[in-house]
Amino acid sequence: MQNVGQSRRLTLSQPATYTITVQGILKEKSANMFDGLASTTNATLGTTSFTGPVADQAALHGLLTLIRDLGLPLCSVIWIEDHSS
Amino acid sequence: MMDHLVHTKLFIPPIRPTLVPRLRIIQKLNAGLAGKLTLICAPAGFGKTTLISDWLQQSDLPVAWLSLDPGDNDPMRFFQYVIAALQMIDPTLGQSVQEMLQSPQPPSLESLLPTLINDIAARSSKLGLVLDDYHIIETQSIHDAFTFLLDHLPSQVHIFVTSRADPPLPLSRLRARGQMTEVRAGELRFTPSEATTFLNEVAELNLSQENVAALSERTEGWATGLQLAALSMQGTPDVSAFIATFTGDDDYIVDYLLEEVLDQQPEKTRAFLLQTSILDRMTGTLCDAVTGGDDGQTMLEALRQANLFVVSLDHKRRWYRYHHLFADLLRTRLHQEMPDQVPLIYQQASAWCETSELVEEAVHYALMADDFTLAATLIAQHIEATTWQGKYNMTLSWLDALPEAMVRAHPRLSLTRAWLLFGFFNDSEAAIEPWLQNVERLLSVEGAVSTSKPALLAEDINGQRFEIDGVEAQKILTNVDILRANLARRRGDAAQAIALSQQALEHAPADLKTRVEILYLLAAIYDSIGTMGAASQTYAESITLNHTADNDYITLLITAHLIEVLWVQGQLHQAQGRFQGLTQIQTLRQGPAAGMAYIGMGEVRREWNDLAGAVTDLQTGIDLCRPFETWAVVTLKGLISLAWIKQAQGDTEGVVALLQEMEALAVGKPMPYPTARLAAAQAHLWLAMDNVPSASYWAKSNGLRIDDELSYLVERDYLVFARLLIVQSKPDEALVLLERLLQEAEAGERGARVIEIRILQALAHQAKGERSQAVATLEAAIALAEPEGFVRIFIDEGAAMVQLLNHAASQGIAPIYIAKLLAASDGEEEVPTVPLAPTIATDRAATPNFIEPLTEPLTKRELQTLRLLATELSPTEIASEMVVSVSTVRSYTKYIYSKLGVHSRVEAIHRARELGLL
Repeated sequence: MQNVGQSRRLTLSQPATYTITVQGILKEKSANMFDGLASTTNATLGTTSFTGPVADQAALHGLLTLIRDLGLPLCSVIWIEDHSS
Repeated sequence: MMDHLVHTKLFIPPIRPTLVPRLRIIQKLNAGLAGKLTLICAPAGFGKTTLISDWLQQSDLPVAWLSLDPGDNDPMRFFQYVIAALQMIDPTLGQSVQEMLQSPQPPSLESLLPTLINDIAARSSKLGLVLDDYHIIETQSIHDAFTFLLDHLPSQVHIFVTSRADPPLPLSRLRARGQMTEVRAGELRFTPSEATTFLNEVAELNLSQENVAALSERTEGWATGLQLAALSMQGTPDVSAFIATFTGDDDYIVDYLLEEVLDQQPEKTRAFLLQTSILDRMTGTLCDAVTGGDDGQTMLEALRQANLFVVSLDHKRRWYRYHHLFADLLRTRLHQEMPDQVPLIYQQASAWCETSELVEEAVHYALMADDFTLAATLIAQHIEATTWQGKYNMTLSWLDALPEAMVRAHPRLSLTRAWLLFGFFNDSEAAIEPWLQNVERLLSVEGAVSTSKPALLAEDINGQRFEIDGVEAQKILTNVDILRANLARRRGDAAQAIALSQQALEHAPADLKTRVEILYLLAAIYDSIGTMGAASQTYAESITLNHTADNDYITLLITAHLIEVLWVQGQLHQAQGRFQGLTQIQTLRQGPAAGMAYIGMGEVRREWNDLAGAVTDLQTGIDLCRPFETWAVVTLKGLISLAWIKQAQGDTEGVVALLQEMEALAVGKPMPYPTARLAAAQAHLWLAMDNVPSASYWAKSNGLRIDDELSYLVERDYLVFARLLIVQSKPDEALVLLERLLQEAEAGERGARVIEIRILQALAHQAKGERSQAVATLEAAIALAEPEGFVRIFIDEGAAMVQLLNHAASQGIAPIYIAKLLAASDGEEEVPTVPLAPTIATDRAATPNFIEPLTEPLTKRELQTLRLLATELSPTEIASEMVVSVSTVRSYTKYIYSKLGVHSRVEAIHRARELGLL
């Protein structure tokens, strides 16, 4: 099945939207460390998801490093493609 | 040499007296010593550093410790600290590398590593190196260097790395070969029984098995989690309630526990923790500066006692830091609770660091405060030193952190930007020139360049003016000239480059380093265009000036160039003298600069027909230069010289083999060596082997003509062409070319070339049947050559020359000298009547007429003392000169006498002169 419209290629220097999910429930104070990302929690799975834009790939890696340094197991990193033309 | 070494980075963290024993892991570490690397890789707070510290306590392996921080991403800084760490175990390690780091253009990492590795390998006993927090390193060249180090690791060294992520090193290769031991999170986790030990014995909580199990599971055995939990429980009356709540949900445990622990603290402590969290490392008075209190030292001690994640950084209980994770979270809270205070706290930290001469940290905090004016002022004060030390990454990151307008407003910063564009990025003149003009514009404010008073600059940035004093302004302007001279040189405009260098010299302040740098540059320019008289004079001047500055590596580097120039000038004895002066610099038998000197000396020996000695020196030099791609030109010179020795010994196969080796060296690498020069050298050898067609092909494919424009750069090429013309029975053309070459060579005072040209002229006349002309020209050549003992320059020309020499001898010209030359052509080799310089080869004693060298060489300090002993100064004055105590001077003197085998100052000086030490 083909997607409607052209699919974009992701590059190193463009902004993009991601949803990053980690194991652990982060309350407001710690969630605030993830600047500019909205967070939601899932009590059943015990996870927190952060969704929002990153300036570029380097910014994304900065977030991943932060997650690493906080000792949060990484469940998923998903690129949210923007299909608006 | 590091100006301010942050010693806490080298300090092995102490362990707490109460620790849960991790016997099985310790055993694993012990077993792992047989390999190259132990990697302890786990997320933050798993106890990696604690593990190694614990293991070290129980081991008697001498270990160098380096705690890495973001500043270590600059390769030069990284290596300076590695050497500093190694020197904590053994002060002699890496001394030669430190010297190399002090040269005007510090060598690349690839130059330093083999020297460092050799230094370490020379040590017979085992040692370990710990790199703590390697995940901080992101610079690829450091990873590459580390990989190189691992590949060539001496067997007595073992490296330990702690990291939060697998480092980009060839881990799978090491794993496959069983050369690496790994300890990962899975093993670092506390087992239920270890958790029990920790919670009940260490933290004295007396929990039930059930509770321990619950906590163990919730924290997943994570050390920091358990520690935080223990702290929370110690401050809580109802432990069961705590455990129930804590284990009842999935809240991020650090968040939850940290909140608990912080809530339990008195307000004063809480504020202290938050405010000091921005500090990478802290001491009492620094904390006071940041909190406005006066009991910082007491607070730190109390925190440490309470196990509140404060780590000691030295034995004196002065410096501490927070556990990284703890600090990160505290910082977040600080930003949330007191955002307005944050810049102020950083500024205060910066001010304190500046007063304490902790420059890098002061700059770091100023930038964190977003106080760019403060940062710019600090950076400007220290950027010259940083660039000189080769810390380009650091210098760049400082400049990049400032707004461009700030860099434009400050002459020192603009100048540095220009230098980096030139030296680091090799940018175009169009990109660099505007920055230089900016500097000149800033300093053209009236009175800016007078040394008597400071000048204010007209530029306003944020309502600030930068003050700059006259001496600094003069330095900056001199550097502008130097940079422009370098640009002219790069573009090939030697005349302009010389003019600018001389201008720089006139304006240069008395600062020694700068003067040496300018003279070296000037000499190099003269060298490149073949103006050898000026070149040798200027090189010599810079060496003399440098003696006062006492930097042996620069002396070595410049002397190596001078030896080459003296050769071309035909001053063979002076060249040898310079070389012998070098060999007493003990720490510098390594590295490509030494290699260049050996090759230069080898060339001289070859010329004197001391073929055995030449081979030794050349081979030594080639081996030293070969690993360094940027020194390939020098390596090739050595190989060419060796080929001529083979030719002299009739070893045709040997010559061919070397020709192939030279080609292999030149091919396929991004080398600065013009392959045209190599081709000419090959053509010359072909001619000597009577392979005229190949030589002819070379000349044709390069389109050589006798009326081509001549320059020093292509001189050798055209000398080969002249030989070809004679062999091709075109002596008249050869003579035309040779006359032109002669004029150039004489103008440039290139004595050896003049001799060579005269010899070829003689051969051309001989080919024309003009016997008497030939002999007369040969006589002229002999007159020039005899005083310096030239031999091979005649003999390498082959049978035609032998014939002519015989004829000249029969006419009574220089009979003894010609007899010597003819004997050489018969295969006799020279036995050195002058002592061979001690080389790295160990069979020195086998060489005849050798002045017995010192069995134990003098150290650098001893040599310095010796030089001063040769003056009229008293021991007290010497002590003052060397900035040491009189008793230290007496100690050195004692050692000197003992090593020289003498008993008095006069004897010592005499013996030192005999050995060429003075």
